[in-house]
Amino acid sequence: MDFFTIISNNLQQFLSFTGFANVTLGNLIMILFGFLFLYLGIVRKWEPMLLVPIGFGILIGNIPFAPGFQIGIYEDGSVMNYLYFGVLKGVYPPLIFLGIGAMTDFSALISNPKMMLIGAAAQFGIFGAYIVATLLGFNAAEAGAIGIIGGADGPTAIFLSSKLAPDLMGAIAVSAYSYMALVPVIQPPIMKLLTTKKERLIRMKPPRKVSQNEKIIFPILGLLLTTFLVPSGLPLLGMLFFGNLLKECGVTRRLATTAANPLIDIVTILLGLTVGASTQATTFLTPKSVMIFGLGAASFMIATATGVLFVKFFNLFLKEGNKINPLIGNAGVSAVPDSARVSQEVGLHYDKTNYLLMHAMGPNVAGVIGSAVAAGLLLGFLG
Amino acid sequence: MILCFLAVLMNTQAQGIKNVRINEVLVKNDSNCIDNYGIRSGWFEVFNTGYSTVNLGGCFVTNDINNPKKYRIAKGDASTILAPRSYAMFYAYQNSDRGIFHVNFSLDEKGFLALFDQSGKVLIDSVSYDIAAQIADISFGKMENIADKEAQWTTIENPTPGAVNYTKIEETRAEKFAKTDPHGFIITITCMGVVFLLLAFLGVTFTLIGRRFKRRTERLTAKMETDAPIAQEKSTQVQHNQENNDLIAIAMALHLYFNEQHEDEPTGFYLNRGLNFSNGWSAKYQMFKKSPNRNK
Repeated sequence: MDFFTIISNNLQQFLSFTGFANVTLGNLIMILFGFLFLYLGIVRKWEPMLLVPIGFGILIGNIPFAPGFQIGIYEDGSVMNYLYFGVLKGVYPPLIFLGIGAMTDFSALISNPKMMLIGAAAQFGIFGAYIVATLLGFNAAEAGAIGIIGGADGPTAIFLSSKLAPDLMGAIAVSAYSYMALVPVIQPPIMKLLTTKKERLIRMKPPRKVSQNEKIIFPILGLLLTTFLVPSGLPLLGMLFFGNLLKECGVTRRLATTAANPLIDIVTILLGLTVGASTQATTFLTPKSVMIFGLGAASFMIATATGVLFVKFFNLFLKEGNKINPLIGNAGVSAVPDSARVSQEVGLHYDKTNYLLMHAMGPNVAGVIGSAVAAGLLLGFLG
Repeated sequence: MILCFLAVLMNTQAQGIKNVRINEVLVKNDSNCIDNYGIRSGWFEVFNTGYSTVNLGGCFVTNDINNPKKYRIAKGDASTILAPRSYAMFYAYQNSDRGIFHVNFSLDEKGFLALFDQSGKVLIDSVSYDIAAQIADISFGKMENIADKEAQWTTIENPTPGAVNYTKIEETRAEKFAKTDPHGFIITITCMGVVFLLLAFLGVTFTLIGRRFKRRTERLTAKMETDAPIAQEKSTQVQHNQENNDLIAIAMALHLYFNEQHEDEPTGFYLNRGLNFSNGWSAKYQMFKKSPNRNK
């Protein structure tokens, strides 16, 4: 064999390893999806902390490669496979909840505990989507995993789908995070549709000042009350309330700072990237994924609608002066603080001096607890 | 003697391979297991029914009786060694570049699957099936993991890749639940009820706690308002006394200074003490110590 033949053979072998030789139409479609996520995150600034890692993860997961080099996320022993372990086994979501707890101020909820009920009402989105999913032919476990998208809580969705329907986790996670980013687009039309102008102008009493002792008692009692009733929610609720106690107790400032800043940032990077990379065209581009995206949108809409309608119903029993502005009903979904911000913006559109943000934070953080409880219940029944 | 030993060894190995059986086959895979590349494909499982280790390396699998050497299982890899009573999974989607356990044929071509020994002439086990009758995600396998070749093949509704083929199908909790509540109305009512109850309970608890704290704050505020004049009077008096004390201290210091009765502050003491009590870890001079230079 002469020198040039060897060079030619080597080049041919090299070319067979390149992405160009292994590319499929599915890879190209998914790479376009990755571009879309990056565009929405970077240019539109919609949830950039989530969409940028997920978008880039989609690119990583869909780079075509010659198999056998321990590169792909589904290949045993690859680096991406090790990082994906945290998603598969539900390690990352509780860590994210720890950070969320350390960042969340529950004062708005403690000062007005009846907001808890709005957080509960909005969870109907989960079960509404569950019913529709079973009607579409998904089995009970899959329907539960899909329904949780309506909780508007990415970590909870990943946690539950990793337990109930690991095969659908990529589509569920991407769907949940996409719709969380689209909260400012999805919710306002529903809020406007279901409220009258008079209702949108309701002014609420300013929340009372909450003492530090109350803030310390809340995570301790909250943990005991919720997890005694729904122990399967312990990984999420335990970490959420623990993170909040670190923040509020005042003697663990360093731990709270770590949980609320570097830790949650690191876990978000790993979670976003691996969830994005798990959307390999071969597993992601299926009719089921399309249905999951449709059901995800439906669950967000149902959750928003039930939150708003519940406030209207609740107002029937409240005296004049104590009534709740139904524009904060949408905040019952646990997309913190995006949905509360939507309440504020829609409220300001109708009355420039009516600030609803602090009032909306109450149902918003109640929604976090509510969705974790709902996830625990679904896990208990279907897991 | 060596030849005898080798013959016995080879015979043992040959005996071992005869204990391997095709145990389970899934032809259409829509939502069953995926391989390391994220691909769902037909698969088959072989089972070492014996109690000695068997090396599959060098054996052949095929879907064509006229071509027994269609796919040769590579030799020399530890993963082909099958421990006693254990399983090996082969994925079949015509892509043998993806490793030893990816064969170069698919299961929906011929309706036949066979395992041959290292010579490619001795049939170890085979199975024929009707491709058209195959249902997605329902496999067929030998329900009893015994060495008997005649063990009955039967359909397995819940395929068990790489595991014992259960004769009894165990329903998952979700499946049991789906039977009693096919469209999820009961679970919706139950779960929404529990979520409402729980959050309402939490709300009531914190309403009560909040009231208690509110009353306490009001009591403290009222008490502070009552005590305010007395406190203000006390505060003025303390301030007055404080001013007097300051003046007295200044006067005493001036008196001592002008009469030269004051002591000189021993500034050197701290420096000397610092040097005397220093060690290699804390002494300042260590920090200024030059690094050793090579003599020119």
